[in-house]
Amino acid sequence: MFEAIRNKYLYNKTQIVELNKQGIVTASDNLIYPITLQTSIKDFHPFFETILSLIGLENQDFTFSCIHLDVNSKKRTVDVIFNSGTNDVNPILIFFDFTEHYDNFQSISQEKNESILSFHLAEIKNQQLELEKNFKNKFLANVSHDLKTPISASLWFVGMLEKSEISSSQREMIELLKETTNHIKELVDDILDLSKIEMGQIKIQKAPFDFIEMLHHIEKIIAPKARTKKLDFKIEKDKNLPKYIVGDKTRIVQIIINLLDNAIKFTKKGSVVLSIIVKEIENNTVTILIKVTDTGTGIKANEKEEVFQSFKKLHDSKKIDGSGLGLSIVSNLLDLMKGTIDYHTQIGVGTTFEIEIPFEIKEIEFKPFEYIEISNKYNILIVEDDEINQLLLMKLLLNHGGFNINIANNGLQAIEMVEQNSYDLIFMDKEMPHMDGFKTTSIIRENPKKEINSIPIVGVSGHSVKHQKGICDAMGFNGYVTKPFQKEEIYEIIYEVLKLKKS
Amino acid sequence: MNSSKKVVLVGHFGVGKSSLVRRYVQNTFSDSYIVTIGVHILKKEIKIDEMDLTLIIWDIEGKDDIQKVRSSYLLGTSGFIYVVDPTRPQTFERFNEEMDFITTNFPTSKLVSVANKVDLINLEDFKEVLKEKNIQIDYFASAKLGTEVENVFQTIGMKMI
Repeated sequence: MFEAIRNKYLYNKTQIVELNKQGIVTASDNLIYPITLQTSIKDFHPFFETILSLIGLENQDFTFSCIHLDVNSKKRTVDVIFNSGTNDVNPILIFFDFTEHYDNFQSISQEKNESILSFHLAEIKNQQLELEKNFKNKFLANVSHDLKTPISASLWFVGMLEKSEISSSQREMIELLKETTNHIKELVDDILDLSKIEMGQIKIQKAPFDFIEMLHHIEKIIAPKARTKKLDFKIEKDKNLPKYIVGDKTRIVQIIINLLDNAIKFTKKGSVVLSIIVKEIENNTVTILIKVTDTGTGIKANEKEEVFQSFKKLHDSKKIDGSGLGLSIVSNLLDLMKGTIDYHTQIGVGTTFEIEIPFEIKEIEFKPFEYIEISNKYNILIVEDDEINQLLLMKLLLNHGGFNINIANNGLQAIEMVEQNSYDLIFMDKEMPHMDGFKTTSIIRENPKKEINSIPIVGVSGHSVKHQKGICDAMGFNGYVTKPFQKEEIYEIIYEVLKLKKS
Repeated sequence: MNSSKKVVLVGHFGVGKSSLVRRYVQNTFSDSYIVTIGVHILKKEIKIDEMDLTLIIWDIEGKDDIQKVRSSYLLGTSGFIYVVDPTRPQTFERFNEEMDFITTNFPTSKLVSVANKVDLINLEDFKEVLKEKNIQIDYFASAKLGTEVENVFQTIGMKMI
């Protein structure tokens, strides 16, 4: 029975060929290929050139898998076993025809390799896109950063002009100028923010803050804008809302303001409502649902996919301005805060954006910032090339009431001034033209007079650094603050450096 | 005098080994990618300095590591052509290790390295990458355009005689 099965299924699947020591075919059952006797096996197919070099070896077996032996338009894929023979026995070749098996394997390999190749190509494309995106973000961040100072300066001068004696038509023009400049500032801020988010440079801070007070602050910003468009604006607060939560207040304000600004932009009449709802309180976490509901134009179904994309302006209307980055920034910031965003919309009826953010609740006893009354005023030198920054810092220090202020516009001037006056502390801008803050500090530190070389110096920079202590030690600073700063930060560092104690 | 030498093309899958062989032996090229499984063996007779030489060219399936190649395929190899694809850095990440393996384990064999598909890249940029990675490639070829293909095989032929 076996013989019959073998004959039926395996008969033409194997072939045995006998060679002599010179590689001449002496016998073949020709079940797969017709091979002419008394011809060299290498003439049958170039594969057998390799076999010839193995003939001299004594009784060794070699297996060659998956050899494509295409002979006289007969395409077969075979495994070949070769026995090199002995002195008495001729070398033998055995072919096993596995064409169907290997064809099947070829299809699987084809699919597998193609998918790996596609993956590789996608990976390379992604890397290129990432490089381009980083380049774009870096470029945008640098340009935006450089634009911020002149824009702030323009706004400052506009503010000064506003306070001067001017005619009503001039006031109108100034109002327009102020509005335009503010608009440019918002655009630049948006671009800078998004670039920083995409480059991973924005870190979400975690600090306790007064949520209710933050809502009042938002109301102060938004209510006038709503009034201008004759829209009703109200804030609805859940009575269970905790007063203090832990999170990044600045960024939460930014998210809510962005949504409210958007709502006001796209609402011609009716109302904009901000609702704050406590969704869940569990252990030390509160999940707050923030809803912004407007009676505006609504979002079309085909624009749904694009709502949170960068530089997408959903409405064609040229009357609605903005960078188109607002919702993208909101969405990115929420990702960083492990929050979510969704919206419901109806054309002509309005849109509700809903965001949920988990916050940590901590029982914190909030202490207001403790000011130290200073009776004998300290002399402080501000070394800063930028007039706006000079004014900002000067205003903060004068408001405290405990300091006399001098200003040096550059490093060289500072070096002269420390020789002529006695200072208790110096605020040193790190980035200045000609002589930067590091160089100026090192010259002051090298001054032979103890009363000069020991003046405490606080470094001021627009760039935050990871290892402040290391920078301070390396550069001779006694402290370091990053712009933009809060007045409390400035007072705190002064108290610390001058070793002033709170009661 | 006519002698024959076995040349094996090695390298990752999809780098264009079969395309180089087809361009060289049959002077044809196809953009579609057909995976090689096992080995296709072709023959080409060439002349080097008036000497007839038969190249027995083994176009084997691609492997990301030469040590994964079936050892029987490499028996009696006189020359290796190592092929990389400049558009896929994965194919030349371990280039120097692969070269070391060949020269250590097949000390009498000759070796030529080729970057195929140069029609798809900025060659100067690629040479910079190679310089950074301390990789030395002998030929920058294109099976599609036929660039340098003849020279690759001619060179391995010359080295083997």
